[in-house]
Amino acid sequence: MLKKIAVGTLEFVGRYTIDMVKAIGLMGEFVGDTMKWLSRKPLRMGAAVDQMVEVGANSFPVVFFTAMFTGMVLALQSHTGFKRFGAESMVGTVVGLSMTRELGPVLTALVVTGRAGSAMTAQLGTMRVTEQIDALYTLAANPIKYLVVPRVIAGTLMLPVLTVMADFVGILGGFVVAVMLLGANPVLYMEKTFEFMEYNDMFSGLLKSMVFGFIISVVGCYQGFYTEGGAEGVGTATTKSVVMGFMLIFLANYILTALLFSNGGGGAKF
Amino acid sequence: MIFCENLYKAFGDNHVLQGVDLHIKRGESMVIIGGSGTGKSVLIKHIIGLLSPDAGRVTVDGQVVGDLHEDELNEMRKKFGMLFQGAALFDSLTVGGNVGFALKEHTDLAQSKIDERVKECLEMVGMKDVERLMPAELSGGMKKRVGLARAIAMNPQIILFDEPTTGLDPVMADVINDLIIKTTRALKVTSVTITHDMVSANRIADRIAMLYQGKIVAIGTPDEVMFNQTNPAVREFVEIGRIIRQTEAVQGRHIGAQ
Amino acid sequence: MKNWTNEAKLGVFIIAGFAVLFWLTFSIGGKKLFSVTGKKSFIVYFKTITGVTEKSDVRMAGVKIGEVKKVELENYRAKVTVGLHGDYDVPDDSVATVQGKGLLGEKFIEIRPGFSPTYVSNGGVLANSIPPSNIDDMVAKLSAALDDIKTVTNSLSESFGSEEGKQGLKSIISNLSNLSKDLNDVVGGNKEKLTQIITNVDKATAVLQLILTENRENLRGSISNLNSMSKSFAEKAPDLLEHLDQAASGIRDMVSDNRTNLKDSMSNIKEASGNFNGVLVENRENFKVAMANLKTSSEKLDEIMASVKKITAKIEKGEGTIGKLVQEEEVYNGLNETLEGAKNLTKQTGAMKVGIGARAEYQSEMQQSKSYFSIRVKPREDKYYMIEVSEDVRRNLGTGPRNTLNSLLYSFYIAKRFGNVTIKGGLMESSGGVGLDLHGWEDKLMLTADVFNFSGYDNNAKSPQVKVTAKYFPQKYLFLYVGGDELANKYYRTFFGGIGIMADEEDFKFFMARFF
Ligand SMILES: Nc1ncnc2c1ncn2[C@@H]1O[C@H](COP(=O)(O)OP(=O)(O)OP(=O)(O)O)[C@@H](O)[C@H]1O
Ligand SMILES: [Mg+2]
Repeated sequence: MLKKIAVGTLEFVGRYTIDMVKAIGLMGEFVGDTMKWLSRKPLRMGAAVDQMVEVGANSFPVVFFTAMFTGMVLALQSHTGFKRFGAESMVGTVVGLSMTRELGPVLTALVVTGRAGSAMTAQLGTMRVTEQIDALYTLAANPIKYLVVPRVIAGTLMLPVLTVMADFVGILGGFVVAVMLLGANPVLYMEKTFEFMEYNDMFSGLLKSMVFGFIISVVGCYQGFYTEGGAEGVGTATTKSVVMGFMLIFLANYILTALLFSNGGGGAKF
Repeated sequence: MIFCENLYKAFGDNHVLQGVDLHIKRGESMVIIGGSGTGKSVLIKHIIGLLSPDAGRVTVDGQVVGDLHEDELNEMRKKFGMLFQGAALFDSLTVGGNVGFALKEHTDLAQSKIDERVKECLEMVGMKDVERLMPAELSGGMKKRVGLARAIAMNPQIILFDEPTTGLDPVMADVINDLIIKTTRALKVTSVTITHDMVSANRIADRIAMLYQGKIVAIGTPDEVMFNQTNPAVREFVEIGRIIRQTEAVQGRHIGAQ
Repeated sequence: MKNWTNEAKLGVFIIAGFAVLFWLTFSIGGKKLFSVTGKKSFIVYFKTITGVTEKSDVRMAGVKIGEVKKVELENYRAKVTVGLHGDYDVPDDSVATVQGKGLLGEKFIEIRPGFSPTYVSNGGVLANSIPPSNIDDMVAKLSAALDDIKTVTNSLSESFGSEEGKQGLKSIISNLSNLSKDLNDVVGGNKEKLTQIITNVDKATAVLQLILTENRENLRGSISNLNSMSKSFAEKAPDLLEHLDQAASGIRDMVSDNRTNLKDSMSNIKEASGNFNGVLVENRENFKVAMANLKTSSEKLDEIMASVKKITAKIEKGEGTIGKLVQEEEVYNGLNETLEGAKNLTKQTGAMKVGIGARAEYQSEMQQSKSYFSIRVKPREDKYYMIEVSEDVRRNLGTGPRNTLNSLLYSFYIAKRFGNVTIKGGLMESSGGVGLDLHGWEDKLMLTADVFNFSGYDNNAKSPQVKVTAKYFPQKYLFLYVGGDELANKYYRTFFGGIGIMADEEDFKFFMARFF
């Protein structure tokens, strides 16, 4: 009996490990395939444009909304804090730096993961369970090339664009709250916003967002591509895709922040 | 020209194929019958390389499918046309886009030529003026026929039909049967058809193979499969077919007379 | 948007993205695009440069003229290489300081331009630099307040340090010493009477507490007696330097030239103080003790006055607590912070007054001066909080060699005034205590009795510390005082006399204008 339990446990651990290694291997293979097809011509720009509209332009409203209110809340909150030691003029600085360095890229990535990454999984998952992906194979068309590459291109290129806009909208939101609600001097606010900001703050944010875009689209496609189990499987895959996307974004965010901001640069400035 | 040798395939504990041996000759019309869930669809997916066997191998025109590189596999697949059981039309493309997909991807034909060919193929499956529709706007039977049109658009040498007449009315089923017979006989196309429809099987089959419990348990001409079987499972399965055949024989309208 | 092609949508989106990118880039870099440092640079050495890093701004009159190119350590000093923009030049007698932008803003180097016609050469060294103050720029922000205090203390030291002041002080002191000499003579000539007086006074102070509390009418009487007594010494003495001088010389004249008149005054005093001691006249034993005390007292008086001189000298040099207080920047800064905070508080509450004060006394038994520094926060006219720092000079009696570092004593007590009486309670000289002030003669006179250290100071002093002081305010902000400390403990018992100031912060200017 005891032996059975012990063996069972060992088997469970072993199987779990094997599954994990397999999943990582599969993912690696998937990323490798994607990179291979990314580098092969011709790229299907038509499909990529469609995806760019989907990931980029169509995500803009929700990114706008998120960034706007984040900027507004940031202004309110930091104002409350700074007022306590008379540094209200720093609100703009905080909003600007927070948006460009951290919140712009990360929030945009999260929003796009929820909106476009999950859509990618659902689309590809549906195609998988209705055998459309198989159909592509039988028509001698590689689904990575036809389905994944355009999405990865769109994700990687559109995230920075969305992030720039989120930065802007967030700063705008903070500005509106600070000037209209908290009575800040508009000129001073803008001056303070950019006084301590450096190119590095924004561009490293954009670089981050590019990586995030790649992660979102690759994870979204991967989860969809290997969907199993019919309509229900599509649902599960979509959930998994969002969860995995979030986790990888946070992980990558930490690593990138450590890499980009650690040695001097903008990091030491504030 | 297509050899399936000792194929084994399992999904987890579900051992679907358990030593399938099947030889399909060039230009013949092979019909595969078998109970639901016995692995017919799995078998033909092995032929086109969508699934790879756990053991055994599939050879097409002397090439082992499992050994092919991606590009070679694609070249091989260009010889094939396949109709999926669920049609598997691309949701994001119009009917015209679906049918003309391979033409657009693999040929240098002008769009007008492609449109022409698409129209032709759709007419062959009894459809007209549906090019601009999206798959979501079609009925199940219509999808099936669009899938069929897509499978034959490239004039393939081998066509794999997974239940082409399922979900069609009898008239339309006859049209499809005729289409399969015509393409196979006239164009010397090799076809592999999965069907539960004994009428259809009677009409189109040069040979019939029955898959049962992971193995081919009966193979031969329709007469051989329907009358000379001792296996009770086979006898039971082909009961209807036998009746149809006997009736046809009485009426002198059997296939051979045509 | 519905009829737009995807390409058009994407085009709009991308163009919008680039527009925003361009705007952000320009906003961030706008100012910096034009601020590439030129070829000119020079070097400044700082003792410490915390907060200044590469790329920190270099400004003159608030205008950015360059940036820090490099910060290195050289010979334990910070070597800062400054790169100048464009055509800016820096006079070679300029002073480099470290400043902060606002409370939390980044640090930058401010160059205060000099007047030299020659400029710092390219690659040369700017000789003058002021390191940032330790307590950071929060304090720098309060430098306005600091300046005020500085002015006060400068004036103080000037008044004592200037020829005029010194002369004045000298004459005061010589007058006082003459006075005491004459007093000695008087004592020699009028032993009998004087002995009586002294005994009276002695007894009077001993039972003062009792009398004051028990008999308010008598208190008034005694105050008017004291009044007439003081009148004999200095008629209507409103201003110190002039009138104290006059008074002192007057007394001297009186004493030396007019012995008979003095005798009369003495009898007056005797009569006046007689009210206190009817019962005690017969106690002859005490006379002798009192006599002895007086002898010491008159000797001490000389010493005290000499010490006053020493004290003021010390203040100037920055020795002792007050000296430290007025000279040391850190204390200044702390003080300024306190004052600034109190000032803000004052602004908010309107009526609150913050006074600062200092006093120095000479202690007979310790043969040493003791100084105090006080802050008085007065939220209402009849109530104040007193914060006081002083040195514990008793240590020099008991243990260790003299002039070892005295430990500091802290007081923080609350006081409330009812009519002519003020009751105090709280921390007194680092221990719990209570006290009573009696005000009289239009607040020109104040008698104080404080009791604290209830469990005693050490094994040599097991009784509570009793301190009695009489303060005389010839003028609102200045006071002279005498008194006795540790009256209940023989070992440490001491008498003292000293001089002090106490003024509300906003009265300082008035005070200075009037007094100095
Ligand atoms: N991708 C897959 N993963 C797991 N199991 C599968 C997969 N494809 C097929 N199967 C299982 O293999 C068995 C055979 O399936 P298959 O689709 O080949 O049946 P079929 O003979 O075509 O049945 P039907 O006549 O109903 O189409 C089924 O039990 C099915 O559940
Ligand atoms: Mg099937």
